[in-house]
Amino acid sequence: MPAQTPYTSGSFQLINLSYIEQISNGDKAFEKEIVQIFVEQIPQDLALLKKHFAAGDFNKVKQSAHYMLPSISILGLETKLKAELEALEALESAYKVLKRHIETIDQVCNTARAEAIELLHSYA
Amino acid sequence: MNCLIVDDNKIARTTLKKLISLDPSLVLVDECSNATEAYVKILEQSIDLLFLDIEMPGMTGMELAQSLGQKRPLIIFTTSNRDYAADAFDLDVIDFITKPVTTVRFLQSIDKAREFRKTKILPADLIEEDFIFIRDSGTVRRLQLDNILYLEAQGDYVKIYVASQFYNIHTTLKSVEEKLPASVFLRVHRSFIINVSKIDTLEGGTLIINKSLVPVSDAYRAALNKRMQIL
Repeated sequence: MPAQTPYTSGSFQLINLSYIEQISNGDKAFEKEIVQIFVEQIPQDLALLKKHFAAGDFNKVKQSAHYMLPSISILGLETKLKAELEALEALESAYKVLKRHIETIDQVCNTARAEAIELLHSYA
Repeated sequence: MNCLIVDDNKIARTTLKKLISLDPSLVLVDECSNATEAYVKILEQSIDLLFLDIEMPGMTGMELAQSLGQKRPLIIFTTSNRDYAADAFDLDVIDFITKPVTTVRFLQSIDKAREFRKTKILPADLIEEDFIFIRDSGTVRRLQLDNILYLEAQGDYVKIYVASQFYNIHTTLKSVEEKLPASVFLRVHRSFIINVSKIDTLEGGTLIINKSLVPVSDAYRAALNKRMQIL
């Protein structure tokens, strides 16, 4: 595998690099750092979200959903998860619906994380 | 300007750190993941500009801002919720940036901060409402600020001039001055406050506003010139 395969923004299914690229202005070290933080942080964020939901602690669910927004936005996921996160912040939907939202968020974030790991390989 | 980032999310902090590095006049002193830590840092160090998340566990960003007193730094809130704008009324808040923060939006807010440091005028479009309520002989009336041309003190009353009429309200000029946004309404004379956006001409020491003459006294001339930034 070539040492520095340049990725192209369009080559991933889920994640979108336009936000990172806009901020980084070509600084690959920054891009790598932030993708790394995403990869490390997302599993913890998801675990907390699910834990609070299972415990019925909806105040904390709301906080968690809000907390995750910058994390998912960094890889352009906010459009895909906007409805779900907003519903979790508003807490107006039925329990079943909220549960489904959590599952969606979990799924999307995990797929994104896998792609992010792949992305990390492409940085030197 | 010395900057401090306060946000419980590491990705948000790292992004802001990168943005701050884009501007050579900004120095990032530190980053904090909670308001309590930030409070201590602000007391210990000279911080000019705070990038403050509002919703954090424990002390919120708003509570931190409110606890800082007179010597508080300038504040740029990074949040997703503009509903907090009303709470921020007294606080020298320069801007509310919604997340995810874009480069353009960030640079705009830095410009606003710089502008404020120079002119001490807060951005007018941020937290101020565009109307006031006045008591007009028994009726409480809403006045759009944009319709007010100027105000004149007369004895125990203040006359508020709008397009084709005026309202007489029983109050002092000073007390009205406190309620009007300083970026738009400027005292030009012991008895006059004007709406800067309604000035037609300034000749010698006299303003013409909607064909009325409003005097500018020596004491206020410098402030008026500064505000008008005449080319």
